[in-house]
Amino acid sequence: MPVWLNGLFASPWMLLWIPAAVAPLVIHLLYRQRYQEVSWAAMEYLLAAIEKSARRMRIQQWLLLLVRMLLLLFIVLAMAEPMLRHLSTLPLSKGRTHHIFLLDGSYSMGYRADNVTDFELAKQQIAKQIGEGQGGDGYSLIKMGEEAEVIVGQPSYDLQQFLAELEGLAIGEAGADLDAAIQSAQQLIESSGESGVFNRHAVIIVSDLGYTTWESGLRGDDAEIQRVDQLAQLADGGAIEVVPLREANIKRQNTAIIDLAASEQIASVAEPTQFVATLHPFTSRPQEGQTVELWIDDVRVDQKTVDLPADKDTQVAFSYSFVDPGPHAVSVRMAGDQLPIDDRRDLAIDVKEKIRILLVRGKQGATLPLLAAIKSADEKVNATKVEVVDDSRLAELNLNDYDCIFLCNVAQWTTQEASRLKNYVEQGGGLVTILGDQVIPEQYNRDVYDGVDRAKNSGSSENPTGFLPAKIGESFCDTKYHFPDPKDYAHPLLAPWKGNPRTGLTGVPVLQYFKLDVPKGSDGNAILWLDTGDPLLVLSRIGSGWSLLLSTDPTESSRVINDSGRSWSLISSWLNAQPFFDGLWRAVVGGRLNGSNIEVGQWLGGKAFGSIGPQSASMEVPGVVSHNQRIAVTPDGSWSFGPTEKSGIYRLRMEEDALSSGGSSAAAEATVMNDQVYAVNINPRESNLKSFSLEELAPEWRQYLSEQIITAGRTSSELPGERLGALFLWLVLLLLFLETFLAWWIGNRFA
Amino acid sequence: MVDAKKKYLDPQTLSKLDGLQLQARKIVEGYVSGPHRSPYHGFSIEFTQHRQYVPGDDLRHVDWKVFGRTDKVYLKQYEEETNLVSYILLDTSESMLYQGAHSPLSKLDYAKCIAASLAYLVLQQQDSVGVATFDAQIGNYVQPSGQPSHLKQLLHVLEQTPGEKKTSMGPLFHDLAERFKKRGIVVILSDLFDDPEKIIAGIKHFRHRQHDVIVFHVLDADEREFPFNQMTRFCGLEHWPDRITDPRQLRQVYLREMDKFVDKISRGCRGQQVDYVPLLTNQSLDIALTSYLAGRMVQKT
Repeated sequence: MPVWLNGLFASPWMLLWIPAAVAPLVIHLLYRQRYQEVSWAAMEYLLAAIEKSARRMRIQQWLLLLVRMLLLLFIVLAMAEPMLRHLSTLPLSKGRTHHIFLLDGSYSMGYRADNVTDFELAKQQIAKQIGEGQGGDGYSLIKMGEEAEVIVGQPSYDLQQFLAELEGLAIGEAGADLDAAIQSAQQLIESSGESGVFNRHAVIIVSDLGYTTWESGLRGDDAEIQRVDQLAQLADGGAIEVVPLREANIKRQNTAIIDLAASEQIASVAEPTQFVATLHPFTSRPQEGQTVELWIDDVRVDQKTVDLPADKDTQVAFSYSFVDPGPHAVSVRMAGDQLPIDDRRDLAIDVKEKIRILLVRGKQGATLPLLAAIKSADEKVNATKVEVVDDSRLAELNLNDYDCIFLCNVAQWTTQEASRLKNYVEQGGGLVTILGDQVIPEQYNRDVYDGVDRAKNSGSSENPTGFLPAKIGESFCDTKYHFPDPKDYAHPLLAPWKGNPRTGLTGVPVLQYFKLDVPKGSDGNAILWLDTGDPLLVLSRIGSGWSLLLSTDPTESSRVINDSGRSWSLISSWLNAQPFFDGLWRAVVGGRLNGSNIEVGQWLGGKAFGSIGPQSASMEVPGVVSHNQRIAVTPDGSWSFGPTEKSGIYRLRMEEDALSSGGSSAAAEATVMNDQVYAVNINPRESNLKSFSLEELAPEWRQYLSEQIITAGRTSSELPGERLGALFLWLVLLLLFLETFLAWWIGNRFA
Repeated sequence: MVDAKKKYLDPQTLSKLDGLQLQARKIVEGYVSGPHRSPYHGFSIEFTQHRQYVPGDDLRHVDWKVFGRTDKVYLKQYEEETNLVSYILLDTSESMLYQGAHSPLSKLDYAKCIAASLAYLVLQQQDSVGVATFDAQIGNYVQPSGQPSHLKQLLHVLEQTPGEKKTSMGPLFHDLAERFKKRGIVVILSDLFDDPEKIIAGIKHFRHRQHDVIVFHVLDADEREFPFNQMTRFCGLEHWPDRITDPRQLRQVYLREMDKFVDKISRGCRGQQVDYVPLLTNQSLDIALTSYLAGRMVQKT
């Protein structure tokens, strides 16, 4: 059964019955073989009758046979359900065409007007165009999302199957990459061109022509040149059509929650947590009385009514005191509009009972000022719990119990310690490394900057594989005091001193420090310098966590050799040392929170605490009722999930019996730690529904387009669906009458 | 008793009897026992004697002159004559062998019965009768004779006829017309499946020689009705080719052709003042006998 028949008939396998149409002829021939024999005397007159009737008899027989054969043929054709429109264009066929539909799957296509979304309208439009195609045409479908998703790659001739695929297609919750879709279309054309089946191709882009998807066409850069080349290739031997879904002059109004953040990187039950939601009406008119709600763990806890100025950000702040520590889902919602997907934004937050800070002491006295400063700052709210240990005890501790670890003037690290610290940071922990006179730079550079992996890879990458954000250079001391230079106070850590020169940040003396080398292109960023130009503080994102490196010892435990025993710096003696030290840990915590809040299309991942057996975790996906997707967990506890397709709250469940970490209490604790909440949000770029008209598209588009303006409002009632089957049934009925009449007429007229 | 004898006029009953002599006797006895005029009386023209009238006698033969003179009713009786000669021509060609599925006798057997009956009847009346069988040529020919023992010879000839060859009546009739020296009645028993023009020409020759001619056109009912209703292979007799055809579609045209043929024969006969008697093999045989006697009556007058 040739596959192109699928494009002509709804039930092409019924055509296998076509040979049955010759049954009347076979029966006729068989009937002629079965006769009686009669010896006949009046043969002369019989022969005369035969001679006179032969022509008439032959015509009658063939006519009757033809009618009967057509009768069967039409019955078979009626049962095969031919497509009227495809057959009707056959005589005018210009050859077979490969239709490639590029369906805009960005979430702006979810805009609903007249009870139909743009995405549904686009699907109807594609179905309509398929109905207007001709027999033998092939159809492919690409959904334009964050990446081009080829839904139907090989040209399909089975329209029913194609329409079923189209019908089952769900709108994405991200943007759309037009260039990637065009590239995919080009690849499809090339692959189908190799088969030589089609004479031409047609690329049909069905889109709302939103700015965010189509704006790259306005750029005069390399991308534009590349796109011109792509369009020229597409237009060669085919046509490009853009089908706008609504008239360009229709202004689509939308209000979105474009951001939701906690004021602090880490939250605890000790003090209220501030949440700030940012709303933006992409409208030309201000909106008054917009209701905004705060939901915690699917319970509405607060509500505010705000007035939103047109096309401007408006921040709405909420405060909430958590009672229970642990992961919580925070959501801000507002009254729905015609694009409901961006009327909600989620935030996953891990609320601590106490923020646990570990001070690792490499030298006696290296942690005292820090401990004093942190405790002093926390005196009122009692939100932190600080522990001090010697560096020799680091291997005994479960580092994941701590939200922040200070490594204070530790001489060197074993490979195992370095590996554990690196894992800790990568999983979202906060690490502050304070250098001092105990530090052996070579050991640091080898074990905790380059890291074990980098050593194996012989330094082929700019980024180190250790947990240090910068390479440690030589110790510098010119016996003069040098002072911090915050430059533009860009980092939030320096925000308290910005605009307050009298607070003394730039007057804190530093006598000795290590020169830090931050390679270009690495993730490390210097956030505070000395007046020598050397970095004093370097911050880097390592995995999900943050690592901060302080090039001098802020305590007085490090002494300058041969210089009357002066300490490396006088930071601890500084009047505002307490907020400085407090800011250090605040700058690095919250990495775990960041890893729990991602955008659609990104991957969720992490490492389970404790030992987890394979396939012992599951992810509760938003919008999928009572269906948890299993997640494979590697023996070392690592897992990943994605790319995420839907926005909302994801909940990771670790099964208790799969945990094999000794006693039941430890297992239960690990389970609690491993059950996590993740918030996946949409990228708010698509919330801006401003769109182009065909005339506003970039010149290269207008050059290659065969314009087709489709006005909105066409519904499925106009879609194809008429089939030739009914016509054939009518013909069958007609032939039945004709056959009966002919048989009667021949029988009565001449018998 | 009368009905028992009449039943032998039915070909269905007749077909159950063996032997032409028996069949002929049964036919004639069945025929004469009916309400018809007795063939033993009244067709001679030479007066011989009177006899006394008895009830039931035909008043037309009452001698009214004697009645006027004597007041007694006498009937005139006539001298029987033997100078009437009948020639029976029997077609024994292959086409005469046809017997329809619902016919009790073949055309040949039916014609033989008629020929035998006529011979028996003629000899019973002391007339002379001769028989000639023919197909493409004259098969057997028995000279006319009035001897009662002549019947046996005639019947033997009739029973010996095989019926295998093609008919060719035209030239044959001319030949026979020349052979029949004495004027008489020529009885033709045939299906006449030959050229009608030639047949009529032959009959015309008989008439030219002052013979009275009676044509018994013997056909099977199937040949007149063509009742076939399924695909049939028609195997032609007398060397005609075979044909496979659907007879339902041919019936109308065939019957038209057959009517045309019969009409042509009957017209030709009427044109020559020849009695044309169409017979079907499922019809009673008294039709043939009546036709013959009527013809004889015409010749006597």
